[in-house]
Amino acid sequence: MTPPTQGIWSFVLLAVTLIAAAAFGYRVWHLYRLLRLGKDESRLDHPWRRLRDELVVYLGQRKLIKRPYWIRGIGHALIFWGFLVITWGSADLLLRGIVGWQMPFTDTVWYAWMLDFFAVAVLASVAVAVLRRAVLRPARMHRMPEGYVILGLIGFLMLTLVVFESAFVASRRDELGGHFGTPPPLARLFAPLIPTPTGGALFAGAWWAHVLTILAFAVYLPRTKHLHIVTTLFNVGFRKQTPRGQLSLIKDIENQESFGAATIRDFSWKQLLDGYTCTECGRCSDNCPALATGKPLDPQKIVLDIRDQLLREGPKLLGAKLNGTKANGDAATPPSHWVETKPEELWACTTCAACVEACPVTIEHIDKIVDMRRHLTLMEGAAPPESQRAMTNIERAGNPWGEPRDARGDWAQGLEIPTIAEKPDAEYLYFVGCAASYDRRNQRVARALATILKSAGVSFAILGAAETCNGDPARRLGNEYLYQLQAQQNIETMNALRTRKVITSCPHCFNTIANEYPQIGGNYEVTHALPLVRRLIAEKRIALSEAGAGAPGREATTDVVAYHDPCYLGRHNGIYDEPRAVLDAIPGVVRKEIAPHHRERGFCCGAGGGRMWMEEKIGQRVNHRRIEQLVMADTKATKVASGCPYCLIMLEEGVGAKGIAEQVKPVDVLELVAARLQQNTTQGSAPN
Amino acid sequence: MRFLVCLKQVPDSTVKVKVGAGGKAVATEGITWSMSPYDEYAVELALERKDADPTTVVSVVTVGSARGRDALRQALAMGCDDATLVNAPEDLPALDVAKALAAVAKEMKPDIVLCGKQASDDDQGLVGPAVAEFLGWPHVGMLTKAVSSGDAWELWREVEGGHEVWKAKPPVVGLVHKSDKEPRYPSLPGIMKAKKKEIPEKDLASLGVTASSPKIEVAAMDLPPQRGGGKIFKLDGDAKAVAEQVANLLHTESKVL
Repeated sequence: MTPPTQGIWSFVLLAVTLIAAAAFGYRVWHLYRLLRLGKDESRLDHPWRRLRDELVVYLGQRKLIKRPYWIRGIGHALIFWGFLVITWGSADLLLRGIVGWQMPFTDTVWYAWMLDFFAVAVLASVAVAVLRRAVLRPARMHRMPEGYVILGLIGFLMLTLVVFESAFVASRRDELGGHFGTPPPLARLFAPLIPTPTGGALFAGAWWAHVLTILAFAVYLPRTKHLHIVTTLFNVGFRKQTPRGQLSLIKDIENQESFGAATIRDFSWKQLLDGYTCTECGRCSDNCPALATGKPLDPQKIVLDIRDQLLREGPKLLGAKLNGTKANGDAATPPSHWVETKPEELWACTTCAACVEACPVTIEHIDKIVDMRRHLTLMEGAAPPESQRAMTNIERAGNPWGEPRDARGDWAQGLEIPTIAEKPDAEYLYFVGCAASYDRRNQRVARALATILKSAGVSFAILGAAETCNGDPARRLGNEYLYQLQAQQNIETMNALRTRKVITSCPHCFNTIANEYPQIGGNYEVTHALPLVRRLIAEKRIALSEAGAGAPGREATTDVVAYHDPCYLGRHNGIYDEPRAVLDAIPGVVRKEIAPHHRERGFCCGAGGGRMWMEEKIGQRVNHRRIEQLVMADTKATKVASGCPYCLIMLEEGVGAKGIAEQVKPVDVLELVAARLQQNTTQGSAPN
Repeated sequence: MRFLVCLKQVPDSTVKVKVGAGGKAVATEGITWSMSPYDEYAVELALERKDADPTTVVSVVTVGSARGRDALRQALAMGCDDATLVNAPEDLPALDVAKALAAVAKEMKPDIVLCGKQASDDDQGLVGPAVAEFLGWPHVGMLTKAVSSGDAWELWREVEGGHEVWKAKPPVVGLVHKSDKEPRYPSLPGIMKAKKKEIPEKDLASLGVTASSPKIEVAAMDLPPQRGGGKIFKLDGDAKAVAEQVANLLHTESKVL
């Protein structure tokens, strides 16, 4: 295809292209400098995993195409892939137009077909996207006009592409001898509609319109949320490769002077890049349990507040940085203000990771929220008063309930469970956790696990009074200092043991010991009880029979059990299948799902992130909403099973408040297993 | 404006209390200690004044063993300005403690001396009023708030069903029942600063106090008897029938009727 840029026109195109490139480059440079206002942070670990993420998440659009966004996700993927294919062609147009070179493959038949396929696919997707915004008006999308402009530009690009291709073929009708030869296929379809004489002019007009639109797009793009086309490449590449449930460590905490984040300069460059990358799609907000129940938290706003402040105040900070002399150093830096996020937004977060899971561009919401909480708690002592009580209790008694430290092992009395001091060669340490140690309801779960382990002949012991809170609530309340004190104490205790194998029955203990203790020298082989029990069943080390079977005068009963995914098992640690496999292996248990809020879309119980230790005064209680979902799912379940002590407490409260305590009984999966052990030697628990 | 808050380090409320070997005192080995809760309120009440007027100085003092330093550090971490430890034997009689505190107050010349209304370990409630007596200052009990008004202080006292507001001209001794807000959680920079702060020590002799007051001797100390487990009866029938059965059980089982 000969471009309509003979003579002077190639210079015009060159000039326009340079201007657009300069406008694009200037903006990108500016954004890059603003980004550098953030703190340093290395994101170069695990290069192969990063490459894999680029292929799967960026190119593969993996995080877009997922429940419940299948159709929209595919629409986006078509536009994105089309963008890649067509950008190749656009580069070709510019090169040919300016210097007469061409991009490889652009003359091939298969490229022409691909180009036309995507032109149609993109047009269709744009049409659907416009209709969705105009007719369905999803509440989670905010900046509608900007979206329309972009969709309009994309649509216009596709139309002009088809028109200039067709007009070109039409203009050369005579040369081609009446038949239009091989593809482009769309051109073959539409060329007959265009008279030969008008073909030439139409071609030139549409070609220039197309090329200028591309250049306009390049200028417009970095000034809008559509910058994400570029930044996602980097945001995915530099995403956190440490476990999702691991918060950043404040090193050498006793010698630092400032903690957490209150202004944009306290965030790392990657957290600022998150802001550039946000597409304002609102999927995070869509899935947030706090927002859904009327709390002031909106995860999208958290990200955008930071971005908006960076764009608003960053230039002033840059200016001050340039003008500030070395002598007075930072004195020339104007005070940077609090990001607009309010404390009550931050305290509403349960750190359930629904937002992180839902985000198509790998934004890390929780880390920002906890960083801002760190500022409130550590710098200002401004954590909510109820949570301060919990922290004082952890500090003084080693548990947030404020129960006596000495009484930690009391739940095991009469069960012949050795402490590790009594049985130093035990294969496993059962790290019981505060809830199972002190909360009466959860003590039954600890007893159930002990019964199962004994029945399977697993050699285990507990720490008793030597155990202290793992520190999760403190850390997620922003109190990194208290967390580190607790964690160090446990690590000191556990590093002195012969065994490195740790069992937990609490997903929070599991997450913290498995994912966070390695940051400060605690490396153990940690398993949550449910995957372990799954293995014990598979290895036939425990045998299960139907409840009541064999007992005189009782018939075997069937339990319909709905499984509730604890966030710190599921989304944070990817343990979805094992608890279900355990349920499926129990005779007389029929497993149900709380669809659609199950697996990676599981809905929080409301107690994570230290919320267990705060009052919930605004909006509906998260656990009540969860019970409503259970009822809506119409599972006919008689039990709702979980694998987390917090979930159990919240579900118990929820069924009570919703008046269905008689119909649905919350249990831990471990209790169901223990109740169906053959030759049940239990002194322990049977689920009620 | 200067506050002097008197503190006592006591076994923490989360500690499971056991009676020591002699049967006359609480076993203190390996237990957690903390500032007595009413003293925490006193510190908070003073710091709330400091929040309102940053020129306010809040000093803290404790009389007892070196362990009391932890309580002083806690108060410093919360935001108090300086701390003094008066070294004294653990079993110093309450009146001698009060004499020592009064001597410190005479040196420091605060406008208000605050004490918790009682310590949560022995619950005597003796030291505060005794300090006022030794100083010859008025004392106001059950404080929940102190507001400066002109050259006097409005002192809010909690009484049955409401508040009384008394006016007092400094110097005055106040016994704190509660503060407006829960005692504040110290910030980490506060904790770190408190760790580095020097805590001067005094002894009784330098304050001119001789331990001469009568001593209370504990005759015996016992834990309350364990409560027996309850019994659960499953009763059927309508309200009337259940009530009859309950009345019956109260008669035959618990023999309260």
